[in-house]
Amino acid sequence: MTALSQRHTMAMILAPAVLFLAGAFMLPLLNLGRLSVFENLPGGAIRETLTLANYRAFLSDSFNLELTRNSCLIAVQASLLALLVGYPIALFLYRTTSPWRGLLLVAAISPLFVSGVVRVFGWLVILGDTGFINGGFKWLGLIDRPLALIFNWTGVVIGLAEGLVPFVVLALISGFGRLDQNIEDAAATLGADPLRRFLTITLPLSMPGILLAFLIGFVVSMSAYVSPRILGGGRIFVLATEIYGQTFELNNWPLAAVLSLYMLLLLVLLTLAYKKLTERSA
Amino acid sequence: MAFVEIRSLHVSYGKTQVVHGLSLDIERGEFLALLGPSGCGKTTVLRAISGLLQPSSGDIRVADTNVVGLPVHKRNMGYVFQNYALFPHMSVARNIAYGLSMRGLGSAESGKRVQDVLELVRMSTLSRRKPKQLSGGQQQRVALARALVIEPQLLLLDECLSNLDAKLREELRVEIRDIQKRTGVTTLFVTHDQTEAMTMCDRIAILDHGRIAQIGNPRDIYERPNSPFVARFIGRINEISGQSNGAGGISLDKTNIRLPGPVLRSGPVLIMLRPHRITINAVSPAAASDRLTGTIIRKTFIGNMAEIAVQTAVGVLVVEISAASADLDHHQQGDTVTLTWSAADMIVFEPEEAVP
Repeated sequence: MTALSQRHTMAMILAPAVLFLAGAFMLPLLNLGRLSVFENLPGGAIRETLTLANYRAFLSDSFNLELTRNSCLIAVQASLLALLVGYPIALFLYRTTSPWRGLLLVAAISPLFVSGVVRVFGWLVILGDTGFINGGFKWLGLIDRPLALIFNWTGVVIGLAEGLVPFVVLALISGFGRLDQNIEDAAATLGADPLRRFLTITLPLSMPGILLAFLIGFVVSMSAYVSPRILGGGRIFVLATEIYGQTFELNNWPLAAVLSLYMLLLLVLLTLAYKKLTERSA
Repeated sequence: MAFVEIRSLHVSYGKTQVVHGLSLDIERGEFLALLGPSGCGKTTVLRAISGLLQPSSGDIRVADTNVVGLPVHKRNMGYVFQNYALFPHMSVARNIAYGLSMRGLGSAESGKRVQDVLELVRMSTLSRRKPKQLSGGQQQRVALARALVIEPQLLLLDECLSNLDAKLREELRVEIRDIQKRTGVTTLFVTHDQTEAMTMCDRIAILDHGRIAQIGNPRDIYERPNSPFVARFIGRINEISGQSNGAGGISLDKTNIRLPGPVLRSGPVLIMLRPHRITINAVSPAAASDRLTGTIIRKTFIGNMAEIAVQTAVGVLVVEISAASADLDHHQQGDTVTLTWSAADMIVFEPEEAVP
């Protein structure tokens, strides 16, 4: 096949995906851009005149800085927590030769089968003042008053992290390609005990997977709305809840569009940083 | 008492027993090859010695200490893997220093030892490279250096030349043997390649189905195999069936040729004969009926020698003659020739009982 006709074939294969992305992603995004420069009128009406007022309003409000900080901090904490929980699971699933491996993998990603709303209500039952954890601790005599595990920062991080674990596990497993039992065996023959083997070989070699898992975890947490909204009890404000608020409560669609574009920019920057980081280490 | 003593080693994977009561001695400073066809359990033996694998029973004593209970990281054995298993995220120097840092060696002492061993394997100029920036042969040298620098009490080489191309393999054979002699490290080399085993090692242990079939120096094993399995495994060999008369006389089946041979129980025997031990001659008018004659069916030129296949009454026999020999041009396909050999060159076995 000539290079030219090969290129044609490639174009034809890619065409459906390109069309789909153009329709489902690029057009709405352009619309969002359009919306962000229109004038917002009281009562939620929009006048189609070009203005930068929405951007000015966004930049002059320091509350947005706090929202950014909250969003990022929650995303970092939830991703780290999910990594902490997901890493052993992923490593086990990657290494096991058990015939149950497939089933165990499905079990590990099963939270994805359940709607986010349902999962979050599950956490209400577990983390609430009379939930499993507080009830259990009380029964054991460890606490007199319930721990505040929900409707606060802690609740949001726990709830988000749980939802991230399947993503983290999948990302880690796909990033474990450089792990090789022979390499760890080599470290063992050179005198490394299991802990040092893990710290000097396994962990550094799984870095690509960890970075990928962190990136995915961060992006998913940033854009999560249900967990911060419900598990935060209306007291935790992040970019996603603010966008929802501007859209459906304050009816300020243009400002919501600006906030959405801002969040997109943050995630693009993060992805670029990830690319830089992985290119350097590769 | 030997430096390494392995006694009745049994290793199983699940229900499959791979090594069946293997016993083996390795002398201090010796370079011993563990040679066998693939699947004979040789890598398993190596892994059991290193501690990467737990034997189901048996003793492995090194310098009079039973190491079976010791975890792998406390055995102080250098192991060179077939795929080298270099640490991809570390430079050559850090790969080599790894074992030293695990031993808590200071950076000055460690640096010096890394330098020394890099010189030994002729890799000093590439110490800052990452493994994937190295060729296969260079990676092999680094793997060897990494295993040697810890001054192991035993060096274990696992098929470590089989991933290299032929030319490089020959170079490294010589080099590894030289390094082994210079360092004097007791070495066990697992391979399926008989040329490798013969050219590099002091002694060869032939492994068959998890047991040692024969152990000895390369010449002994080649000239005096103790079983048809070993004879067939090492080098090429012709097989002729015959009869022993029980008094040192051997006759070849389907002929009336009689030769002097070892005294064996009377009955069928298997006669084995190395191709280079057979002399090929044009049929002379004087050729008597007690000579084996045949027709050349194939002539293959292999560089320094030629291989001639002759169809005879006892089957096809392969003869090797030196390419320098003038006979090479005399014998052509279709020619009738006489084959002769010295009775002393025959290796005669009573038929294998296990074979149905």
